[in-house]
Amino acid sequence: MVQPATIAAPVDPLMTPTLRVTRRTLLVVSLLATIAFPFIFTNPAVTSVAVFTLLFVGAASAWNMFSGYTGYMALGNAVFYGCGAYFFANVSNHFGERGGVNLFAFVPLAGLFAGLVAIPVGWLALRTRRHTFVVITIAIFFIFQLLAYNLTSLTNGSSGMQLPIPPWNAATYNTYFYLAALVVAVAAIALSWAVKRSGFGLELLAIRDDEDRAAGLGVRTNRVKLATFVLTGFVTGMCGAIYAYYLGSIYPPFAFEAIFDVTIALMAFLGGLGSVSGPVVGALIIEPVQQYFTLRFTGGGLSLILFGVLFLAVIRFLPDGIVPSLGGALRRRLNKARAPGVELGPVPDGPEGSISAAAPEINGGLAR
Amino acid sequence: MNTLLEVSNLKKTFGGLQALADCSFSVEAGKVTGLIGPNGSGKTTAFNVITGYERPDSGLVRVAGIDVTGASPGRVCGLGVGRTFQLTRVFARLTLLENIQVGSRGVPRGKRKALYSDERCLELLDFVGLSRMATELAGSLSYGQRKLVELATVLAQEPRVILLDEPAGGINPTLIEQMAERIRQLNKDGVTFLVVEHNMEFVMGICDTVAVMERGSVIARGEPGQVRTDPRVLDAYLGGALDDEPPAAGISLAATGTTDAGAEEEL
Repeated sequence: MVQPATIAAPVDPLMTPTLRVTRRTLLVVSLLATIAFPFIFTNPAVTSVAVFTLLFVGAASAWNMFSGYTGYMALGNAVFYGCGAYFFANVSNHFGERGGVNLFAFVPLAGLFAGLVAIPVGWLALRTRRHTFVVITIAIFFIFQLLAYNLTSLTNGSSGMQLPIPPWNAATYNTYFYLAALVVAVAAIALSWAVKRSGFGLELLAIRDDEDRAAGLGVRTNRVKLATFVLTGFVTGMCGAIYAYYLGSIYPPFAFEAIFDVTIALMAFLGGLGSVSGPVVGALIIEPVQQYFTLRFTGGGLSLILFGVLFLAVIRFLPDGIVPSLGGALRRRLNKARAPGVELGPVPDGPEGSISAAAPEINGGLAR
Repeated sequence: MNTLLEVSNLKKTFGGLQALADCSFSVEAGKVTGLIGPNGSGKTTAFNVITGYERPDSGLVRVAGIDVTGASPGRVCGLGVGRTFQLTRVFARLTLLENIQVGSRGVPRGKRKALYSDERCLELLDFVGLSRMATELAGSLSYGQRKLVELATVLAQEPRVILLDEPAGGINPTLIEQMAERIRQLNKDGVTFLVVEHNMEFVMGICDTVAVMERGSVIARGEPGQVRTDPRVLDAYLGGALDDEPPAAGISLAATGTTDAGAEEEL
């Protein structure tokens, strides 16, 4: 039996050095373009949509970091959104008579508060799995919404809370919120990327595929899941805080909104569950579309019906999501271009060869 | 001779089913021990109890003298017990390389880097003949190949003892021979094995000693050749016991036929 001197893994066609440079350049360019956006498109109606879109980029990335990686479909992240919003409303009312840039300093604090809330919520909900987990997260969401209506000393109940209004002029008003939302969105993407690349992320993905076996290989499943759930709560809470500040007032049904839970999940599904860029792409498509629908078809909830149709269409036609589907197609094309039909290299003798030859189903499911 | 794994008087019932009834056996360091018996005799349940996936009703499990009865699967793994599953379990949406690397937290921090370098993981894949598919998703593999990936994943942690649940079940003869060859090779390097298997040729070919289970307890043990001709073993396999015992026992035997399947669904 001849052992090869060095064993090299086949190279992913999308990870070649040239493509890596291209990708990095594209990333920098799009980041610069995103920063420049509110200075080029100054129409407040446009920047307003952009602010909401960025908040959803952050929230959908955060949702994906837990639910996309571990496969635990949480439908209660509005809990953290709302907690971030109300925490921010309370703290800013307490410390800031007048609004201003300095109030943004409370955004990370609101995130920490939401992360704190995520500890007991996660501890409870993560005792269950799969469908039960989904139901439990929805139930916890409604408990929090009810609390927001009833804990009047903290939330002022259904009368809502007013927040300090910043003294910025109308032309640049949205830009501040835009940049703040951008920072949170970029942080969420970076965090989600870092988690996925780490050994920690690999453990989350292993939990998605087979939690019990992962546990048997020494993955501390409970700890890993809860830690990620808390990270998700932290990021979502920051988004909620900016949301509240931007709206200037906050009411229980808007802070704790059931549609929010479905929306961020849909964004991740459309873009590609479990991929870093998937929820970003999903949010960039869905939020502007939703805003357009709402403007265009006022009343009757027609926008929600269209939204539902979109959801069904995604699940029917793009079950893997946009990013993995495109990535898979591109890989197949590149593979074909590189080695036209040559997959039968020198087969090593001995039993190894027989096994490799017994498995021609290369490229079985590269959609990742 | 030192005992690496010892189970004594294990009892486990699922509802009215007695999956393990006073089950005792031990695995000597450096040996390949076979665990055979008819379907539903409690082999897989014994594996599950040893590796922490099931808690026994009573009895003891010791790994190198340390009591691990009812410990978590992670702790048992940390003590150097690796296992594979009867219905293979790979991480289908991870690549083969990633599959192996999932276990990196299961080994002590100091050894982690050395055990989980890309080179070593690729070497392990090469050992089971799959290095050329290192970046493929495990879900695209055939059943037999998945068994080999599962083995490689377990090997990465350098366990002291490896529990294999039907390594030859449902895979083609070439792969079976390869699996046997790999086990012999590893055993020569000092790895201890406990193997559940129905393929008698396979068992007789690799095992130093064989324990035979029936209805939740070990009824015979010894060298493969000896066990093969033991009348109690033949009885267990051919169902002779049905004629000798009162009807109640006959019903319980019929019922234990579902034990294995039930236990797997629990997982």
